[in-house]
Amino acid sequence: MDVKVQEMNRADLAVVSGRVDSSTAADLGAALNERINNGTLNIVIDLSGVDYMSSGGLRELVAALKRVKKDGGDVRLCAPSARVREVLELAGLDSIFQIFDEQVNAVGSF
Amino acid sequence: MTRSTPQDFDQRKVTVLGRFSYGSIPMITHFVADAAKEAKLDEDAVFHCQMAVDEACTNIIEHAYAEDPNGNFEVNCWIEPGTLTIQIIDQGKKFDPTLAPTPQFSSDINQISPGGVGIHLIKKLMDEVRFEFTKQGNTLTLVKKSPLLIHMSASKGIPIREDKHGVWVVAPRGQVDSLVASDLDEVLSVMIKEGKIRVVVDLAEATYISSKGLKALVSAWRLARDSGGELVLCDIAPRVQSIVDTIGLNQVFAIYLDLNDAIRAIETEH
Repeated sequence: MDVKVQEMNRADLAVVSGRVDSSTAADLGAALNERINNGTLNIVIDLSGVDYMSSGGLRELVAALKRVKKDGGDVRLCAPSARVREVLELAGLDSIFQIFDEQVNAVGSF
Repeated sequence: MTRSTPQDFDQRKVTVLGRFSYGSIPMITHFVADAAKEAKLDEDAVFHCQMAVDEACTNIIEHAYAEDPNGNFEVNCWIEPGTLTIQIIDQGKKFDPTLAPTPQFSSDINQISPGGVGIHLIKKLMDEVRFEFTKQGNTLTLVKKSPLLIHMSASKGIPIREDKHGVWVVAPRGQVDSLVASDLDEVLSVMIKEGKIRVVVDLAEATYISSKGLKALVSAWRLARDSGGELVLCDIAPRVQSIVDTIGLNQVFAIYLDLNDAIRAIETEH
């Protein structure tokens, strides 16, 4: 799994790739926490390169969302593969995350 | 590739043993994926099995083996056409994942509690989830059935059922016109491709059968034969029988007077 974070005007863009499973989820959480600790409120997570996401990864997404929402921020997701989207929906996360098809729309939504 | 004989499609058990760690999960999920493919589950269902097993193993490592993370595991798979039964046994402390709370995702951020996402996903991904604590240890049983066939048979209104072990009965009702014929064609071909190759088509409730319906039966018969199985007909109404006879299909199909005869015949011959 790999996370590359880029600062945009109104949000940070985190481009995640590879497998986000029980053994790698903590690294995703650490990368997001580092940005939030530095004061980032708005985060777009680009999931286009994620080929597998287990509940461990979902928990990190939710944890990041909870942290930024407390201060009025948001975490928005974009471009999940069909498999990852299915998992987000099965877990019920599509009710708490805004999910965009295109990265540009997710970034532009802030 | 060797062709499967009907006997190969009886229930078969495969087992993998090892020591638990995050690192052993890929080996277990590969093992389960191979078993799921052998059970003729489709690509989505194979993925669902892999994901459910990943979640179950993670739960075991994080809860049952929380204090001793390197316990033993035993994973058994029972393979039968269209159904995979997975059993995961660990010797950790008693942990029943099915009792975990349902995760809450509401718009109120303070109400969000993501605990139990793993088991929640497992329940969504699998058709049956059962837990038992036995002298062998924690035993989690997961069952996945071919969603394609379940969905198709229900949505198309063509009842199918397994009668004697490995003998499947398909019973189209009413007018088997060209519309119903294409549904019948689809159901039969999915069934046979999944390895349900001993098929009785029970026509007791079919009042009419179009040429397209007969064509569907012939192509399913051929597919079953090519797969090492058999397709027979039974309980044909006189009017439908005369259509079958006129076209000469009574030379192709074995036709039985009633369902029990048909099942007995297909059981003993194949």
